[in-house]
Amino acid sequence: MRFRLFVLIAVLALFAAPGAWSIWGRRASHGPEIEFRVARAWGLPGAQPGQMNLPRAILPAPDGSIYVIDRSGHVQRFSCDGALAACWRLPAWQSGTPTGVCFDAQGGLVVADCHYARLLFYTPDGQFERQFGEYGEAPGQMIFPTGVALGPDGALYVTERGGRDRVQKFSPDGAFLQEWGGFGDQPGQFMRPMGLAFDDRGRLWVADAGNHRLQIFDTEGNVLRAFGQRGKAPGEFDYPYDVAAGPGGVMLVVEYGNNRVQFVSPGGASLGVLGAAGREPGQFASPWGVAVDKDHLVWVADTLNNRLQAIEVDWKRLIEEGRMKDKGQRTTD
Amino acid sequence: MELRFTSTVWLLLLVPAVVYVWAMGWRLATLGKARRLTVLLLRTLLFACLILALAGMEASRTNDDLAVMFAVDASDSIPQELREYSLVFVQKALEQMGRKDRAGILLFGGDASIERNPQPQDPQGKLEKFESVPDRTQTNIADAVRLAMAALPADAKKRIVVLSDGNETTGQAEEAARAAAANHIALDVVPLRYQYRNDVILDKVVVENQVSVNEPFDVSVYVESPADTKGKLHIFRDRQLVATQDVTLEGGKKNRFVLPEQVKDSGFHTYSAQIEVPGDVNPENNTAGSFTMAQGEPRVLYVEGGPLEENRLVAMLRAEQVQCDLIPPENFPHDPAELQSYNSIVFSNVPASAVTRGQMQLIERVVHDLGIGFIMIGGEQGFGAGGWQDTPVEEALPVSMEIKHKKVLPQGALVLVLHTMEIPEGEYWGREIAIAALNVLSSRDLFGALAYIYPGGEQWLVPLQPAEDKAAMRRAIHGANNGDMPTFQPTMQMAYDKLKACNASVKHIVIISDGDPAPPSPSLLQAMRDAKITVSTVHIAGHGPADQSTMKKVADEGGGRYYQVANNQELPQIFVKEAAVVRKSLIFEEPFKPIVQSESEALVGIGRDEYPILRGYVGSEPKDLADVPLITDKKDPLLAHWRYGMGKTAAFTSDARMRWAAEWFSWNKMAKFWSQIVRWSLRAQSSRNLQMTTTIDQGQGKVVVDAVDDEGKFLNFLNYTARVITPEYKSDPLEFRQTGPGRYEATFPVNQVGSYLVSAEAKGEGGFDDLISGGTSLAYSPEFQSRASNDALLRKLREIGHGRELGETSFVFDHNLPSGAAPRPLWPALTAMALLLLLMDIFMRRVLVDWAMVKAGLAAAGRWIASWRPRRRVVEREERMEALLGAKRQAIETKEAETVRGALPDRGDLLEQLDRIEPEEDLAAAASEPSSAGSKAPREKPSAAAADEKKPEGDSFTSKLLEAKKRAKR
Repeated sequence: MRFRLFVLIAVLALFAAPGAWSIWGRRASHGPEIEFRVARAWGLPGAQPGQMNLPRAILPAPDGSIYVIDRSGHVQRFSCDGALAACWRLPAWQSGTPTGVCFDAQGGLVVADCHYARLLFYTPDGQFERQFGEYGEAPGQMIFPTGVALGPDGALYVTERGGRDRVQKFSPDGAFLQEWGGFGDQPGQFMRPMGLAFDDRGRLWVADAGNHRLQIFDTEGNVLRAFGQRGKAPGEFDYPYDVAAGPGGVMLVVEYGNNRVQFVSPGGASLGVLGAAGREPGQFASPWGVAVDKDHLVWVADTLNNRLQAIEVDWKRLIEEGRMKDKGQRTTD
Repeated sequence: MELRFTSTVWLLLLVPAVVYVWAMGWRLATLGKARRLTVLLLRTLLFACLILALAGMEASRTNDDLAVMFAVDASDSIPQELREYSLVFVQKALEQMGRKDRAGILLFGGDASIERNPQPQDPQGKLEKFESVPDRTQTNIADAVRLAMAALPADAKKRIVVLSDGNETTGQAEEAARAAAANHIALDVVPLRYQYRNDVILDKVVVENQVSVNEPFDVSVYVESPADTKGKLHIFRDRQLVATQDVTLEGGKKNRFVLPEQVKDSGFHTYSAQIEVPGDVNPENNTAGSFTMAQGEPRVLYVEGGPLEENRLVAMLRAEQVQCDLIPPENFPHDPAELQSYNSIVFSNVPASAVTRGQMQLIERVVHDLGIGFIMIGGEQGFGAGGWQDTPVEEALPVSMEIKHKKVLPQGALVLVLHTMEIPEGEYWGREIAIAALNVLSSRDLFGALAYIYPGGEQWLVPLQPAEDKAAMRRAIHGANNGDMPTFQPTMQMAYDKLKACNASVKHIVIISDGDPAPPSPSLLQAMRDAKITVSTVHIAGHGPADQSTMKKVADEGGGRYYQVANNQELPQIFVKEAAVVRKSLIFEEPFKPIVQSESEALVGIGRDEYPILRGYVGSEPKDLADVPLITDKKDPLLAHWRYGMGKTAAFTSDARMRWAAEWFSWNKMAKFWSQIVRWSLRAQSSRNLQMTTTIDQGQGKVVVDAVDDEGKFLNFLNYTARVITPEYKSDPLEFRQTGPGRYEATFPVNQVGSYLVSAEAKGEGGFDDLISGGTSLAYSPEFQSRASNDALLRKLREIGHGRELGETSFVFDHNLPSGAAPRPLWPALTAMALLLLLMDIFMRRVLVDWAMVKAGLAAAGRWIASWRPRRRVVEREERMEALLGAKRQAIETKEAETVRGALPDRGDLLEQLDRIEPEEDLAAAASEPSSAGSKAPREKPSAAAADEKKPEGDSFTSKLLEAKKRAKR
C-alpha cells in the first residue's frame, strides 16, 4: 500500500515536472524580465492612409493621441486605439523617411527629415510652417539627422550620422549654437547616433547605436557617462535605436538588434528588459522607436511588424529598484 | 452547423442495429436491471456512432462571411477610359462592403499579380490607384481566375468579379471558370465594352526570306480596314523610308499592296510598312515588318574587347578577302535577325561581363541552330579569366573554363556582403548576383556571404568555404530574411577575420548596399589594406550624395572599384567582373612555343616549327570530342575546334594583340593562319534550290519552303530538320509537312513581340542536302489586334460561373451564395467515441463494483490521509497488544489475590472465560480510542454493552475481572 502510494506520487511528479519547468524554469533562464502587460497592439500593414509601412518614429501627444511616421512618407496621428485622426505627407520620402520627431516649445512638430538634411516644422494638425538645414559637414549643416529633442534650455538638439556623427545644438529658428562628437568609439564620439532624450535632471541621453552604448551629456556637450557594450545580458545593448524618458527618472532604450526595450536607472544601472523577437503582442521585430505618453504607457514602434504596441509596466517598482541600485554606486553627477 | 453524410445508405443500418442490440438484451439477464439498461443504451450509442462514421458524417460550419476578389484587366487592349472606369467601379464597390465582408484586388494581363489580399473594409484606407503592373502585352483571364481562387479564403462564401474586355490572347478562361464553379465560387463579370469603328490594321508584310543582290523581288503589304477610306502607306528598308504611296482601302476585305524592290548590299535587310489613316483610333497596330537576307560575300562580326584602334587583326583579315565588321561589345546586337547577316562571329579578349546573358544565349542558339560560326580569342579578359564559366557560350566552345587536371592551382577567396533590403526586389537580386559570382568561381575557390538577418543580426549566410556545392550556397542566400544593416563594421570585421586566416592568393570583398549603413572604422580599412584584401562596392538606389561618399570611400580605401547602379539588370555582369578578379590565377604569362599536336584543315600550309613564340595564354581544359591541333608547353590547349550543332566553333587561348602575340605580327603566315581559321568556321551558303517565306497569321507563324532542283523540277519527299528561335532566344523544333508539289509548310506559335528566326535543313534522294534560313517579326502584341470587346466570352464565363453581369448600379457584395466552407469529417471522433463506449460496455458488464466497499475504502482513505501517521498506528497496535497481555496477566494475579480472600470456582473456568474474550474486540476497542470519532466506536460500545449484558447472570466475578481488565487498559 505504501509502495503503491509512492509510485503514484512519483508518476504524478513526472507528469507535473514539464509543466512546472515551463512556468518557472524558463523564466529563470531569461534573466530579469520585467513584468508587463500589453495594453494595445494595432496597425494594419499597407501604404494607404490609416495603414502603416515600417513605422519608425513615434511621438505621443498631450491629448493622448500619437504621431507616427512610417516608410510611406506619411505623418499620421492616431487615437490611442488606432483610429486615424490626421494624415499628411512629407514633402519628399523616396530616399528615406525620418526616425526622429519631437515637440517644440509651442507644441508644434519638429521632424528630423533624415535623408533630406533638414528639420521640418509643422503645426499639430499638419500645416507646414518652415524648415531649416542644409547638406554638409560644416558646423550648422547636417548629413543624416536621425533624432531631435527639445532641451530644457529651449534649444533643439539634433543627432546626426553619415559624415560627421555628432550632436548639434540649434536655436528654435535654426541658428547654430554648438556641436560636439565625431565618428569613433571613444567617449564623446559616436558611431550612428540615433535617438536622444532629456531626463528629469536635464541631462541628454544619446543612443549610440553603432557603439552599442548610451552616452549622457550635459547641455554643454560634456560627457558625463558612456556605458554599455554589445550583448544580450542586462546592461548590454544591441543597436540601441531610441531613448525615452519615463517617470521618476527611469530611462527606456529600445534595442533594434535585441528586439526588446531595456529600462535604465538614472545612474545607468539596468532595471530589466522586456520583449523578445516575434510577432505576438509583447514581442517585437526590429523596433526603431520608443516613447512614454502622459499616462506612462510605453509605446514601441514595432517596425517590422508594422504596428505600434502600448505596454503597461509597474513604474513604482522600477523607480524603487532604480533608487536602490543607484545608491549602491558612486554618483559622479 | 450543417451535418452532411457522404454515403447515406449506411444509415439504413440504424434501425436493424437497434433492434439487434435490444433483442440480444436477454443475454444480459444476469445483470441487475439498472445495469442492463445502461449496457443496452451504451451499445445502442456505440452502434449508432459506428454507423454514422460509416455513413461519413461531416459537419460544416455555415459561414455567412463573404469574400470577393476583383480581377481587373490591365492589358493593352483596354482603352484608357475603361481603365479609369474599372478603378472607379472597384472603389464604389468597396464602399458597399458589409462590416464582415472581405475584398481583395488583383490586376492581370499576361500574368496576374495581387494588388491587395482579401481583407475587411478599412475605414481609413481608401483605394487611390492601382499599384501593381502586370505584363500588359497579353490577356490571360484563366490565370487571373486561378490566382483569385487561390487568394480567396477557404471558409467564406466566395465571388470573383472579372473586369475585362474578354479578349483573351492566351490561356483557357472557360476551363478556369469551370474550376471555379466546381469550388462553389461565383464568377461575376463587368464587361468593359468598346468598339473601334475606325481601326485600320496593318496585318503583315511579306517578303521572300532570301534574295540575291541586285535581283528584283516583291514586298507585299496587307491592310485591313472596316470601312472604305484613304490613307498613306510608308515603306521602310533598314529603317530608311524608301517609298510613300497614297492608297485607297476597301472596307471589309484584305487590301494588298505590292512594292517592287531590290537590294545592293549582301546581308540582312529589314522591311517595315506603316499605314497612316486620319482618324484611326488605334495607331499601335499600324506597323508591321519582315526581313530578308541577300546572299553575297560571307561576312564576319568581329567583337573587340579592348580599344578598337589597337586592333590589327581585322585589317589583316580584310586583306585576305574576309569581310569583317569591327564593333565593341556594347554594340553587339540583341535582335537575332541582325545576326543573320553574318556567317561567323569572333570575340577577341571580351570578358563575359561585357555582354548580357541573353546575348550569350543568342550566340549559342545561332551557332547551334543556324550554323553561324564562333571563334573566341583570348587575352587577359578571355576564357576563364573573363568569367566565361557556366555560360551558354562556354557550352558552344570546344574547351571548358575549369582546369581539372592541374594539381596545384592558387585559389581565390571572395566574400559578398549583402544589404539588399531596401532595393526593389532585393531578395531576387541578391540571389542573382550570388549566382553570377558563383558561376565564375571554380570549386577550389573560396566563397562566403554575409548579411544582417532578422532576428539574429550579422551572420554568415554561407561561411567561407570552397565553392563546391554551389546549389546549396544559392539556396542559403535565397532563403535569407535580409534585414536593414545598421553599420558595415561587424560584417566587414567578420569578412576580414576569415579572409586573413585563409590561404588564398587573391582575397576580395564585394559589398552591395543602398549606402545607408554607417561606414567601418578607419583602422579596419587599414588592416584590410595591410592584409592585401581588396574591397569593391556596388551602390544601388542611393539615398543621396552621402551614401555615395560612404560606399565610394570604402571602395577607394579598399583598393577596389565603386559602381553606381541605375538599372538592376547590370548587376549580374558587375558581379561576374568582380568575381573574375579572383580568377586571375588562370593566366599563365610566360613565353612559350606552340606545339603542333595534330593535323587540322585550319593549319594547312604551316609547318610544325614555323610558329613563333607567344607570351601568355589563359588556362583551359579541352572537351572530349574537340580537336586540339595546337597546345602550349604546359600541354594546355592553344587552338581547339569542333562542330557544335549546325555550326563550327574554335578557341584560341592566347591573344591576337601585341601583348602576347607580338612576335606573330612580324610572321609572314599570321594572316594565312587567321584567315584559314575564320574561313573554316564560316556558315555554309545555301543554294537557290530552296526558297523560304515566313509570315504570321492569326497568332500563328507559318513557314513555306519551295524546293526545286537545278533543272527547276519540284523536289518532293524531302526530310527536314528545322528549328525556330523565338524573341526570348529559345529554340523550338519545327515540323514540316509536304502540302503540294515541292511545297512544304510548318507552323509555330507566336506570343511575343520580336523577331523569329527559322532554320531548315532539307535532305533528300541523291544526296541532296541544303540549308536555308529566314524568319519574320511580330511588330505589335496581339492585344492591339482586337477591334471590339469580346462579349461572347464574358457571357460564357458568367454562365459557367453562375454569376451576374454587373454594372454601375449593381450591388456587388450580395450574400446569396451557397456556403463554401469545407466540411470537416467526423468519423475520427465518432470512432474514438465508439471505442470509449465499448470500454464502458465491457466495464459495465464484467466489473462488479461493491459500492459498499468503495464507500468504505474512500472513508478509510480519507481518514488515513488525514492521519498520516502510518508507523505510529502499527506501533500503537503492538503497544496495545502488550498492554492487553499485561492486563491479562495482572487480571490473573488479581484473581489469584482475590482467590485468597474468598472461595473461588474452578480457576480453569475463569481462565477459559477470560481467554474466550476475543482479543480482536479489545484491539478494535483499543484502536478506536485514539481516533477522535471512529465510526467503529459507536459500534463497539453497543457490542461492549451487549457483552456486558450477556453476562449479568454469569459470574459477577467474571464481570469483575472484565472490569478490572478494562480498568487496566485505560
